Amino acid sequence: MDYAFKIERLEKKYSDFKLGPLDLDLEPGMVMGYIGPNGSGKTTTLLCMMQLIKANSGSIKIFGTENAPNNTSWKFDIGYVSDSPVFYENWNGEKNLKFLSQFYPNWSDDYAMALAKRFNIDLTKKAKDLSRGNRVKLSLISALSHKPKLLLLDEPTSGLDPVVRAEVLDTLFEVVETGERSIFYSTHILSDISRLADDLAFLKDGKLLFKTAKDDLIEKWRKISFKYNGELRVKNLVSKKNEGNDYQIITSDFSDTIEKLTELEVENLNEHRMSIDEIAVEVLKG
Amino acid sequence: MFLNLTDFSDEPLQSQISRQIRAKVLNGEVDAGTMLPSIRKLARDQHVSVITVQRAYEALEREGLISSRRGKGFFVNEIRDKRKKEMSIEKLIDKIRPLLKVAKEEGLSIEDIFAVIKKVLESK
Amino acid sequence: MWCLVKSEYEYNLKRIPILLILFPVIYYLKLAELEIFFYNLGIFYIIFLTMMFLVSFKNKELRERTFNTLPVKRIDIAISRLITVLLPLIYYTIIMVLFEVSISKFDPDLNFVVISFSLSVISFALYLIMRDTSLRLVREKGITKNNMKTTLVFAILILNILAVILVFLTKEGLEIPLNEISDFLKMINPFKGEYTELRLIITAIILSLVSLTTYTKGKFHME
Repeated sequence: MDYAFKIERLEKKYSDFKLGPLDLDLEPGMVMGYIGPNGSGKTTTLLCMMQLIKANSGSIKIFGTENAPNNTSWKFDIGYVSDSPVFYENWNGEKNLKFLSQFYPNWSDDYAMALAKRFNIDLTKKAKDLSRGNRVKLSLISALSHKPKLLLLDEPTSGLDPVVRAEVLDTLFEVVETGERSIFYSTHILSDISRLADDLAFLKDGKLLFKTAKDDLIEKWRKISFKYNGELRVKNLVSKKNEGNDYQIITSDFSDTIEKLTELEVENLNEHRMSIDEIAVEVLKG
Repeated sequence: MFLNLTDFSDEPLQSQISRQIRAKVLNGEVDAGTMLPSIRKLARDQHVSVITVQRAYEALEREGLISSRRGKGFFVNEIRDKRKKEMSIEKLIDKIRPLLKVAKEEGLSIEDIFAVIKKVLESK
Repeated sequence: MWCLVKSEYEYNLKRIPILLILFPVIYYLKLAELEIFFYNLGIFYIIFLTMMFLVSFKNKELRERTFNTLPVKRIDIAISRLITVLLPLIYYTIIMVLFEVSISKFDPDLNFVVISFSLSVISFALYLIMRDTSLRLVREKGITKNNMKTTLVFAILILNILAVILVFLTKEGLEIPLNEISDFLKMINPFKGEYTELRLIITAIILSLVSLTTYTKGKFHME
């Protein structure tokens, strides 16, 4: 099976930062949320994938094809939204889109216009006169109009008002519906991907902490409070707090922990699930 | 298919989906033989991830409420009314057990608990 | 590749007619040998040519970032930036040849035309190579409206320093007309005669090809 993308042993060194070695892949038809604090290497990863920067070592394959800089047919399958899009600033949106359409055989003007309408953007305005949010919208339309099989999105909803953000997310749900298109979504606005993502990958200081199915994460992490006399000795807890006999713990392996707690016969056990936001904070805290 | 999903419940989305579909099947709102929306369609309509719906459907399949036919989709199974009642009762027992435990811990007697049940049902 | 060239021209459409008209005027003035300040207009028009290319394709560096995300080969982007500049240069060369041929029918100074063409290409190719290989400042900001003045002053400063050196060597007056530079170059050149122009043309071609290599093999755009 051709992965939508397959990153193997990717390494990129800067003077004060190193990304990798990174191994990551995405199955076709899936959505992966790429989560990490600023400066963790998310954008660097995307830039390497787009060959906008050259990695020191490792390989990246897009639908089975190596992402070579001089054989660019793999780019037909990719729609890329960067965190700071650039346009022909003195041209309006329509002309910018027309320019881009020349490069993609699968470009659909109808689809581009439909998206423009949905996102409520004025294509007759010059690019330099557009607000940040509108520039992001234009960038999204540019990335979606050739119906690429893989979307690489770098913070696509930052700067968007709630109504447009909802339209964008709705469009992304629509994109995934056919099962032929995949999304790799780098963000730190977790509420975006809390519903959309199938898988989550956590990046910190250039290293992949882990990759997991989102639903597994939600299932396995719990916040548990209980009463217990004495020193609590349970292994593998994410965090532990107590005031006297009142304990509050966070675990990443609920079934295992609940077993141990039952053995210890703790009292007044209260557990509940955590949101992706809460889990991410704990994961990235380290 | 009309589902009412929320991020504000402690119940994960996957579970909300399967619970709501189960309810519709058990109370007869959805007939046997009805085809459920495809996984991807439901994911798109409800704004949830594909895997979430997939797991919800798999859970319902394991319970015997629905079955998948290759290439066609997921269909609601024929369940005898007696079996429906049994399933509902099983589910209720599962849900109510922890609540009763807490009630007992807090010192309520069996009579107290029955009174509460009667009150709650009558007020609805 | 031609899409990129075409879009750059479409984008700068407003500036181009002015340049197309202005050039013959300036060249005529040069031939008429009007003296402005100390310098013969000749030197200005060289600066004019080069700076004009760089300035008219404003903020190109930023747009090249977008080109890099497109399914276009890097070599095509490198070629397109050369061609974008070569097209007006060829126009200028034709104008110059027409002027020279019509004014001095028996002895058209085509050497001068070749030298101007080559020097323009060389200076632009050097700019591209410099940009591709190192100067982070140039790479990030490029030549924009804001630093155009600085760049122009910088360029004139360098040319003036060169002029002073030449003055010292040739002990001539303070003007450095292009003819005298080429004469001087011919003078110190052991292979006298036409080879100066040939060398300049070859250098121009070589440096253009080098700029293609520095772009495709060099640091990628977002470094």
